[in-house]
Amino acid sequence: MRIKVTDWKNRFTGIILFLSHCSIVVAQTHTITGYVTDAATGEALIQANVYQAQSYKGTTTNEYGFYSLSLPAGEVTLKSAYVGYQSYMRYLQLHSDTTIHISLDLATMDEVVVTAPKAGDELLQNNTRMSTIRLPMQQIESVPALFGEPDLLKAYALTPGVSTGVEGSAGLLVRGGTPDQNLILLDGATVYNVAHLFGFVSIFNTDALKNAELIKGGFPARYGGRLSSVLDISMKEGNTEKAESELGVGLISSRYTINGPINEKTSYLLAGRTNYIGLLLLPLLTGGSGNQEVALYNMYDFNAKLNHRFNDQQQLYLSLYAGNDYLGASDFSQNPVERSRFLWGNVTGTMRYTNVLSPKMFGKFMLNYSQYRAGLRVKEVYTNKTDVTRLSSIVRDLSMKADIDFLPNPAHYIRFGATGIYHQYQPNVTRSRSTDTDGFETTNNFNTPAGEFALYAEDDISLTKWWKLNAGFRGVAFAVEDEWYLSPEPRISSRFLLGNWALKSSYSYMQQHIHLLAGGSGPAGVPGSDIWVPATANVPPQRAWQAAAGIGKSFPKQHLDISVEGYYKKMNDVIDFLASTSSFFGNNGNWEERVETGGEGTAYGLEFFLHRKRGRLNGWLAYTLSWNNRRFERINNGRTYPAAYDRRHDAAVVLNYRLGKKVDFSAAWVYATGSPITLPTANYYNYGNNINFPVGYHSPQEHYGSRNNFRMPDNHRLDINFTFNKKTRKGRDAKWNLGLYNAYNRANPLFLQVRQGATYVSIDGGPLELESVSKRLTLHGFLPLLPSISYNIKY
Amino acid sequence: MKILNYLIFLAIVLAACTKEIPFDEQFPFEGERIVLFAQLNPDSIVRISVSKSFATFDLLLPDELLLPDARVELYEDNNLVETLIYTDSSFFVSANELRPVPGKSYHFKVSHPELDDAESMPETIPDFVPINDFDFYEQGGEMVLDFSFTDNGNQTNFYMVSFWGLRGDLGDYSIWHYFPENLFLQSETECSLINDNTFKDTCLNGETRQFSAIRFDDVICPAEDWKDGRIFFTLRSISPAFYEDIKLRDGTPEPGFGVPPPTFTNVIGGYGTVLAYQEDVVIIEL
Repeated sequence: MRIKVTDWKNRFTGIILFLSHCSIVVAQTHTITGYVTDAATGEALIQANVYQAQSYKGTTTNEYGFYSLSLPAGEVTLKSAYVGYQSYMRYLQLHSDTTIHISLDLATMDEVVVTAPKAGDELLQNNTRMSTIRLPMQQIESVPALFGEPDLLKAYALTPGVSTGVEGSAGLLVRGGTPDQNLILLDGATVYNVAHLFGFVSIFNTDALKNAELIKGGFPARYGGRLSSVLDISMKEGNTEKAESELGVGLISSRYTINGPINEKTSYLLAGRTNYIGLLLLPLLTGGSGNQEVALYNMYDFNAKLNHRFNDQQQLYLSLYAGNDYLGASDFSQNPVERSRFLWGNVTGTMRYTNVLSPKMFGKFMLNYSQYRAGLRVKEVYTNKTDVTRLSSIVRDLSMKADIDFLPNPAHYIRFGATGIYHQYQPNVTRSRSTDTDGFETTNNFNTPAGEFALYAEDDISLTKWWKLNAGFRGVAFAVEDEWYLSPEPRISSRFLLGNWALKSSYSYMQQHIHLLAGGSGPAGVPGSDIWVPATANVPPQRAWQAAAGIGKSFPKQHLDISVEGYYKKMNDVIDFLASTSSFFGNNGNWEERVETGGEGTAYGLEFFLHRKRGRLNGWLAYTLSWNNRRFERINNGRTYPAAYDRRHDAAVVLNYRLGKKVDFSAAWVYATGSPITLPTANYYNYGNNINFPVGYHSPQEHYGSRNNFRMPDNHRLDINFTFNKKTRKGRDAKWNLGLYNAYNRANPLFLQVRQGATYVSIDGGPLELESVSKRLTLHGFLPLLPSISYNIKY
Repeated sequence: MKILNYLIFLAIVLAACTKEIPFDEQFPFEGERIVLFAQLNPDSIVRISVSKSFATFDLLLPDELLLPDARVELYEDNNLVETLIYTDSSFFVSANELRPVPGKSYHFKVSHPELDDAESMPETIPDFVPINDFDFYEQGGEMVLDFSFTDNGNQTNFYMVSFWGLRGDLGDYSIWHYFPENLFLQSETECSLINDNTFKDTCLNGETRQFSAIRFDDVICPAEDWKDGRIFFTLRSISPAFYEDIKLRDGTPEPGFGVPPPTFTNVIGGYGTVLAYQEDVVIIEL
């Protein structure tokens, strides 16, 4: 083995080479490095293929568009391809390390149909990654959506193994997991609350997004901290070639995005979205005597990004997201006058610095801040004083990360790095102040700081032409109160080639040091409020291992991917709520005493995915057959029961079809087995000796058997959308979207209600006696046919 | 905090679009079964309520569910002692006026020509636990209740304290005053109350313990409102099954909030509860 050591960087490289048993003896190799970008916008293209045409040895770009490819010296035909773009090809004589930046042009629709470059798409059989879905942003934007609002989360919810539970909600449920078990990253920063409008709209403005990838299993070692999925979202970097704007006006909200170059080395992006559903609802939210009660709802998102390229090696990225929901209410009709506001949302900020440390080594250094806060303020104005009460729930993260990509040769893609996070959890703060007193009196303040440190290393290894392996390890230490939780997490994924089919398998172990006490209109009792709490000495971290196996193949000529995967996931130390728990928010009690701990969960199933990423007719077909169970010692008498989001069958068909040059049609049909609920299995009367009632009182009682013993009716729905593309007089691209949500007006069940009544009579002034009873069962449907219209223009 | 109302209202408006739709599905029903309810204590003659269950949407009145022709056998320490006789309102009683004996176990076997047999699990009558001292007095405008008792340290014991009276103006309806959650704050959390009045002896560990509870005086009605001008304080020593039943009832959420836990029953082949206790009562003359 010959290692050329020229400086400390290469010395380090040499050590890594040795440690990674990469003892491949090469004659004379040189490394081609560079970035792959969109020719029109300068945006980095993630997971673009770069390969040598003769040997098909190649690599893919990382999340910054960077690639590094070491090849034998001599004649090289370098090719690059990316979904939806024209392929790139260049001949060169490789006799030294070389930098080649590649700009790809967007393919026109005709070119898309006609051209079929081999390896143009990201081929399933080329990599070890499994249980991973990456939907092109164009495809996400074309999925018909509620209120006509393109929604990243709802698009992913139509893929196999993923759902949102109740119709209209935004939290993702992945392979039997719960919404808190998803690690959602926006430019590397953790996002805690993903929904506006109580879950009807996600917080992600697709105009500001470049890429999103969902990992459901076979987690690479660089990710950790959640049990069920990783959704890694990247914001656009801003057009480096020219300034451009996009305006979208919809039924409930409007968006505006502007991006462009500041100078040759710097670009920016600003995107804002606000809604006016509060104005539409104003007549409903205003009332009281003399209209003295007023309420107002609003929500907004703001994305900003600034990129600066110091030189070919070094770049700096600054990104910011801020979004909130706001509800304000005033009541002037009473004394005291009451003014209240409820505000909840996220702020994330990321500073990233990247450096090409050597032709074979790419460094990423990141500083993140993330905050989720839900706060309620009530101000009571008396004639002689003012009282203010504030309730809040806050989680803050400050993290530092260093990640290194090291590509010693085409047979290895090594990643290693470290993360340190300072968490601050304040799940339940109550503060009050009166003008009678000085300052705030904090009556309830559970402030729990925690520290987390992780180290990881992984290697994507081509062992033979037909066997590739991604082996990794992540070690995590979590310190909270006086407790240390250590988590050694092995990860491995493998790909065998069986002819042109890829046989894949994976195993991963994950540990999660955070719990979600409530979400949406759940047991928090306050819609929109999430309460995040850390693992503590009394409530240990959640743990899970998952094994998956599947087979898949890409058909590049047809731009088609097909895969079938089976998975088994075992979860431990999950939590649930004590049945009597109705509210956490503002509650004085200790949350640890109000949750069931030590729960076990098992989820297993089979997923089928047929995905056509481009072409005149594109879209996907997804089907999931799954089981999802829970067991707690003190719930359901310790017996296993179906989890709340257990769905036996879950299917989706999403189609986009270009009817002509000016008209696109898209449709999405979804089907899911009804959700399980708990219903009584018998009824009887207690004729006396009831603990709480005297003898003679005939109290009807319901006898509940096992939990979740009944299924609601199945859900299914068809959404359609027509897009009319046009050029304005000034030559700008504009489009009208006309949509129908739930086109055949299916009343999908939201909840069941038993309405019962009883008539008691008293004969001759005696005790009341039951005369008759009545019962009626009703099922409440949700979100009937809803038309939508929106207008978008680019200039 | 009206804002919470607005918040909930807004969420409902957004779901606005909910509508009632026909739903023909049948509720799950395990078929008609025998239902038993009894509370056994040495101060009362053995009696048990026997009836049958019905499906959720069977609109049956209590009288239509009685089983006067059932055969009800009483066992003491697994020996048949007698067959109970039917009286009225679902109750079968001991013709021999048998009263349960502390330390002995009792169970019932019930059969009916049209239903499967049902049998209750044996219940042992707990030992008597006397109230050592007791005081009920006014202090600073609040009514204070002090009491103490001695826990038997050789076994796990379960207790229920009650403070109640009969309201003559409500047809002898009993009114219960529940104890504040802070009654046992001086003890460990394992002794915290369930159902506002029931606890196990984890924090007592065989000791004599003095407790104090403060009631606001506006909770106490004028003496003339109580039947005979009396209210009662009761300390019950209850069986483990009694405690389990109350614990599950306490965990049952209000309709619409949370998932109901499985209903407790110690009747094999049927439903209901057969529970045992022994109590000491203090009469308070107001």
